[in-house]
Amino acid sequence: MKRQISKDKFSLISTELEHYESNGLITGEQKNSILEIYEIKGGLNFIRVVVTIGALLVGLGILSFIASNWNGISNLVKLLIIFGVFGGVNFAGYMLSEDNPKTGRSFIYLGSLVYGAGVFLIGQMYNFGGEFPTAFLLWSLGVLPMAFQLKDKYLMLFANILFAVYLNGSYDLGFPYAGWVGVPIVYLAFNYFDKSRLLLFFANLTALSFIFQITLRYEVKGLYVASIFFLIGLLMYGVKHTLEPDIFRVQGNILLGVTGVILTIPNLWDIVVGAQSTRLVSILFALVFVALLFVLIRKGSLISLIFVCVTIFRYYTDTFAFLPKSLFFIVGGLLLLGFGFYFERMMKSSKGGTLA
Amino acid sequence: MTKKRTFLLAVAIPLLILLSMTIKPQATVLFGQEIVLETKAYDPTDLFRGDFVAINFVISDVPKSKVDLPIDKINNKKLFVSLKQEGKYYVVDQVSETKPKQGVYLKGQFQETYNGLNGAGDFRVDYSLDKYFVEQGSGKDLEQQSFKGALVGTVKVLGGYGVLTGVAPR
Repeated sequence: MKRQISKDKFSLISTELEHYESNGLITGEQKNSILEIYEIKGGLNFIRVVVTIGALLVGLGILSFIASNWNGISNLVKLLIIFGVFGGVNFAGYMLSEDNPKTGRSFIYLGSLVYGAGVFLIGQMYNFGGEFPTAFLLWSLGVLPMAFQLKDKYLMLFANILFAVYLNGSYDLGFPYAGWVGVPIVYLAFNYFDKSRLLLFFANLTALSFIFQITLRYEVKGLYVASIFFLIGLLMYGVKHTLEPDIFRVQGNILLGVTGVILTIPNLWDIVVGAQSTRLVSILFALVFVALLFVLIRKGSLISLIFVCVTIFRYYTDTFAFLPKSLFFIVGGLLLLGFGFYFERMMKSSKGGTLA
Repeated sequence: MTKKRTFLLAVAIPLLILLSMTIKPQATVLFGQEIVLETKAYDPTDLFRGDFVAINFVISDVPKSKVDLPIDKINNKKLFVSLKQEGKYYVVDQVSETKPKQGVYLKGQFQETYNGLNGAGDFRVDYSLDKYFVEQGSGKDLEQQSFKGALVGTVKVLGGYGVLTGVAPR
C-alpha cells in the first residue's frame, strides 16, 4: 500500500526532489521512484461538503422550529413528529448507504440533530428549570451508538463536543459524575476510530475540562489550579512518547503558556506568602517563566514566542508607574540585546550550530 | 449481531433516551397533586428551547427561622421543603433533611443569601421550576401582567418532584 500524505506535503516533497535532481544529487528515475511510494490523501470531498451542510441546515431549522414553541400543534404531536422524522431520516440513511453513501451519511447526521431537538422539546414541554446542561449529556449519549455503529469519526467528534459543553456548563448542577465514564470513552473512541488525530485533540480538551471541573468543585485555590495545569502543560510538552507527540506538544505548550501568564498575577500568591511579598514572588515566577519560554523557543517553539510577547504586554499594561517601568523595560531589553549579540558572535567564531 | 441489527439498535437507543426523559415528568403531570404558588416573572430567551418566562416563586426564599439544621448541612445541599396551604396559595411550612411522611413537599437545592444590613439573610432554594416556556413573542404579556401584580403558577407535585404546568395572572 502506498504511503498517504497530504497534498501540501506531496508538493513539498516533489519540489525538493526536483531540486535534488537539478543539483545532480539524484537521477530523474530515482526521483520518480521516490514519488511513486506516495499517494495524496483524499481531502475534502465537494459532494460530501454540500450534503453535510444541507443536513446541518435542515437540522438547525428543526431545532429552531422547536425553540419557536409554535402553539399551532400540540406538544404531543411535535414529539411524534420528532420520532417520525428521526426514524425516517435514519431509515433513509440506511437505505441510501449502498448506492449513495455520501447523501446517506448526511441523513444520519441530520438524525443526530433531530434527536437533539427532541431532547430540548421535552425540556420545553415539562418546563425543566435551571440551565439544562444535562440536555447536552443526553444529546451526546444519543449520538454515541450511531457513531460507533458506523465508525464515523465526525459523529464521534460531535458527541465529544456535546459532552464537553455538558462538562463546562454543569457548574450549578452538582458534580458532573458522567465525566468519570465519559473521559475514558473519548479515549477509547480515539483508539477505536483508527487513531484519528482530530479525536485525540478533542479527547485531551475534554479530559482537561474535566480536571478543571474537579478543581472547581473541590474549591481548589486559584494558585494551585493554575500550578496544576502549568505542570500538566509541562508534562504534555516534555514527556517523550510515540502517541501523536506533536498534538501533545502543541496543547501542552499552549496550556503552560496560558497558565504561566495567569501565574504572574500577584494576588494569586497571597495564600502562600504574606500580602506584601506577593508582587516579588510573582515577578520571580515571571522571570523563571520567561527564561523557560526562551529555552523552548531555542528548541523551535514558536508558540512560546507568542507567550513571551503576552507576558511583556501584560507587564506593560500592569502599572502606571511609568518611570520604574521605563527603567525595567530598558534594562531588560538591553540585557536581551546583549545576550543576542554575544550568542551571534559566539556562533560565528565556532562556525556552526543554528539557533533553531 | 448483524450490521442491520446494530444499526436498528443505534436508532432505538436515542429514542429510548427521549422516552425515558418523559417518564418522571409525565407521571407527575398525570398523578401529582396540583398546587398554586405566588410568583413574579420576566421574559428572556434560551437558544435551544426558545422564549420562556423566568419564574421567581415566593417559596424560593426560605427564611432562616424555618430551617433547624447546622449551616454546613444546608448550603448547596438538596433538602425537602414541606408546604402548607394558606388561603389559595401554598407556602413554606418547614425544611427537613429526610423525606416527609405526609403532605406536599418539594426537593430543592439550598443556597445562603446575605442581607447587607444585619447579615441575617435567607436561603434561596432552586426547585428547577424557574422557567415556563411560551410561544415566541408571547412572553411579554405575562411580563407586563407581572409588573401590575403577582402572577400565579400551577405546579404538579409527585414525591418531591415538581412540574410547572401553568402560569396565569392572579
